[in-house]
Amino acid sequence: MRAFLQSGLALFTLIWAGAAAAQAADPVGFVRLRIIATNDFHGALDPVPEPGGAPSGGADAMAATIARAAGDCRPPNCATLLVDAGDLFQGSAASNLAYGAPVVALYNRLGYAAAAVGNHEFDWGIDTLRARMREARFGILAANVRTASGRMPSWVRDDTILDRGGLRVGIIGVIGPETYHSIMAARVRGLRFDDPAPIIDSLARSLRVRGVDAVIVLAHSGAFCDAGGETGCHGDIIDLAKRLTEPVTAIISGHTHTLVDTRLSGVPILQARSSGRAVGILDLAIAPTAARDSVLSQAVVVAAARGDPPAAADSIVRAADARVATRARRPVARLARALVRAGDQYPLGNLIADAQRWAGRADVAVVNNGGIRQGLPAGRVTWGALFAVQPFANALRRLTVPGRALRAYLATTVAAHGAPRSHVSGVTLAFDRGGPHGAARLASARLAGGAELRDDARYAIVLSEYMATSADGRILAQAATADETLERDDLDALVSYLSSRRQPVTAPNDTRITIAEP
Amino acid sequence: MTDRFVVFVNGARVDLAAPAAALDAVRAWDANAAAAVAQGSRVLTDSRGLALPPDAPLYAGAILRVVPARDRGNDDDADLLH
Repeated sequence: MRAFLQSGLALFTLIWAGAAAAQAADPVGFVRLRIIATNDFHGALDPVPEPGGAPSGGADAMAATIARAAGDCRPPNCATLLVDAGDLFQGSAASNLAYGAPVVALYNRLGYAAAAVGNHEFDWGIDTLRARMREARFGILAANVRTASGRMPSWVRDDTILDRGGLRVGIIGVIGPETYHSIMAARVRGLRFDDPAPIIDSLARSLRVRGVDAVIVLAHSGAFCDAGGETGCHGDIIDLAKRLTEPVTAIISGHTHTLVDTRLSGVPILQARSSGRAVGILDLAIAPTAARDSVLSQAVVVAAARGDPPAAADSIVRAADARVATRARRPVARLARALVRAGDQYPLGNLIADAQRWAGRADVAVVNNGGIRQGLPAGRVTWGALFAVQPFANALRRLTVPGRALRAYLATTVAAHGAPRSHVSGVTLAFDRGGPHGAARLASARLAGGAELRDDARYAIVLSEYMATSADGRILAQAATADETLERDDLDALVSYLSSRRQPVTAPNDTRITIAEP
Repeated sequence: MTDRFVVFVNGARVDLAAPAAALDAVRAWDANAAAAVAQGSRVLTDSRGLALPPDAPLYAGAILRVVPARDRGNDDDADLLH
């Protein structure tokens, strides 16, 4: 039985009946291993808003769903294994202001056995990641992370073997190399993410030699599928799975925040959205013979439904929330309309770009879409809600650069890959398809007053530290005649800007980037 | 011979002579940041986000973070909304 249910306890119960039926069908003597899997929790101690909708997910719903899944699997004939495919951290004030410590405490309490390292685990630097690893009573695995010289860093673990119900389960954790450039360069200086396929093959062979009954891959590398998560899947984890030559029992993926519930050459690949909004459940029946053959009896991704979370887990969430409550609940502004992230250009992005240009008293600001993490509801907006939109605490840099360099930066950064990847303020950009092979080419860049950007003039641009230290940003920074770090970071800029506007605030919905099709 | 030890400030490795306090580590990392801490516009936390006084004694492997003093200031802005 494979399905994903959007919401609702009744529907959840319906799918649970299928799970129970699968349990009843296990052959006599077989031991069932139930793998319960999450990914991309992103510090969501509290529910997070669905795009344009009601809050969902969060620690309570995830913990209650895990408890239900585990409660349906009891010794001696059924054992559970709780795992995560990375990005435990980064997203909420309650988690971020404690640098992820409450999430590790929560995962310890829920009994996680292992997790893959995700790109956002590096957001506070390796020192803090290592501190969280020391606190974790589960392995945070990163088998393909290497130093520049190709060695595995001393603080990294590649795999682990866990005993569950008389079964030995090998777990390998990897991070997708494609995620490397989504991390601020300074955070991973001296590290590289190698191709995980040959490493998984090698470790899978080694684990089999060491006598495991199943090999589970936790990969912080994701996919995109059709609505049900079953068909039309494509993306990095699919490409990776196709290149594996050693058999693995299952792959738990992450990173793209999507629903994935598919098979590739019989190997299940599960990914349960993000922020505790879904949980993957995979049952293996393992034969009581010398061969220890395993049979997949079910793999599903179920929507997380609120219920009674374990009290100990609930207390961790309440304590973390209480620590930031005064700050997080502080009202900052009122919004005339809800602001959603839809498409590649939207009013919320314009608003954030305007805030950063305002904070730096600059001519231009550019904000990467990937740094805008959530939408905002209409009405009162709190500091905590704004934190969830801009959680990275990115410093803002004000660069004074020649017009020629600015034009080159805008041409390569904003839409060179065919669609806008950023929002801008202070400039209107018109692209055509005159680039090589029909690529977007910057045809004009008009400043706020309507004048075309001049190559021989100097302009001030505000960028986040993340953007300023990217490959394109470093080229621009090298051309700067002045480079200062603002007192306000990105969140401070947004908070100050919103609170200084006439209330309620209406986000600008003007079109600032166009790409003319031939 | 002076005993030396290593701590981390905002992810950067800082080598210090013992004994040293938190503000010494920040000063060795970035003098401007240390000035901001002394002036109160930035504050220190440990790796769990717990506040750390500038004169806190350090130990090998300590993790410090220098963050904006966000609890100050903006309350006046919020009052405008009520």
